[in-house]
Amino acid sequence: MAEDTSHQPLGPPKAASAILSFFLRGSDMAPLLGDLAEEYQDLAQSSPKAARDWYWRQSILSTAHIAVSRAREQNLHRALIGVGIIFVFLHYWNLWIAPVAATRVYTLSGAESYGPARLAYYIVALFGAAISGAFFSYVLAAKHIRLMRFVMSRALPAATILFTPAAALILMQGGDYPVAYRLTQTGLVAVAFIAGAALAFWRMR
Amino acid sequence: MSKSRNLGEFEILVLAALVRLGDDAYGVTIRQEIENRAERSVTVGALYTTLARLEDKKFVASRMGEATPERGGRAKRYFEMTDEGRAHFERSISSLGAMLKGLRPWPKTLRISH
Repeated sequence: MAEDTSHQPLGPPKAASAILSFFLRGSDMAPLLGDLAEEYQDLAQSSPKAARDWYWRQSILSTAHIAVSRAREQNLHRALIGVGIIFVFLHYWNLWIAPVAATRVYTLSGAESYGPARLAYYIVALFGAAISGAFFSYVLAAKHIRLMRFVMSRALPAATILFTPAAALILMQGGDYPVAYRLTQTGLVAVAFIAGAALAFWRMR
Repeated sequence: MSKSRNLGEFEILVLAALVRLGDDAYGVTIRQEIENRAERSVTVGALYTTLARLEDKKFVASRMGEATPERGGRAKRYFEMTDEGRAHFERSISSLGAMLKGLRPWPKTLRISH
């Protein structure tokens, strides 16, 4: 049976509002939520689904914009980049350098399981790497635009070419993670970091 | 916080929208004015961070308005350009106009020779 939405109360997606509200806490941007709600109501009159999509898109992009802006204002971006780089280093240490589980910096309970803890770990790892990459771009582009262009056009491709034989050499050192697992993990984090950096760079051009 | 007095492209668009909208300049109308006239997609987050920066530079002032049911009971925040903001805005568009004057057609005129 088709859903009759004509008499249902129209309200913006609560999850999107909650995320945005969280990032707006303590700021004087609260009217922003009212603006979104007002435009949502107008759009929902003709298409509730399009209105929800619009609201989600505005919320996510606005959250990212406000978070980056606040981090830059408070010089948190350097700390975030530092945390991201340390995290990526620890991740790679565990994957490639620590020969056995006992020498890893951290371990997940049930290293071979695929439960919620591992899923959360992947989300943090990939999202963290992408955010770090984006902040990396913003910082470099803010003060060192020539260096940024050099990194994106020369250094990153060169590093990729050099990394491949280096990774093969490290691979031969051994370790108790399966090779395919280590390659996948390394690739995913690297791709997330580069994607974040490239996206931020592209947005700033 | 940046203390730069130079206006960026998006800042000029926002200030131009404030001039056009007059007393009815708040988040929704400013965003729609820029999207409709400049044909540029604008997120409300980008708009508010820009307005906050302009307010920090004393180029823009704001006041709280009425709350309405369709806004979830939240009040509107109206923005207007200050005298200092107007002076910088006029200087920026004047400079831009002077640089663009007589330039046509695109992109032949813009070909740069070193």
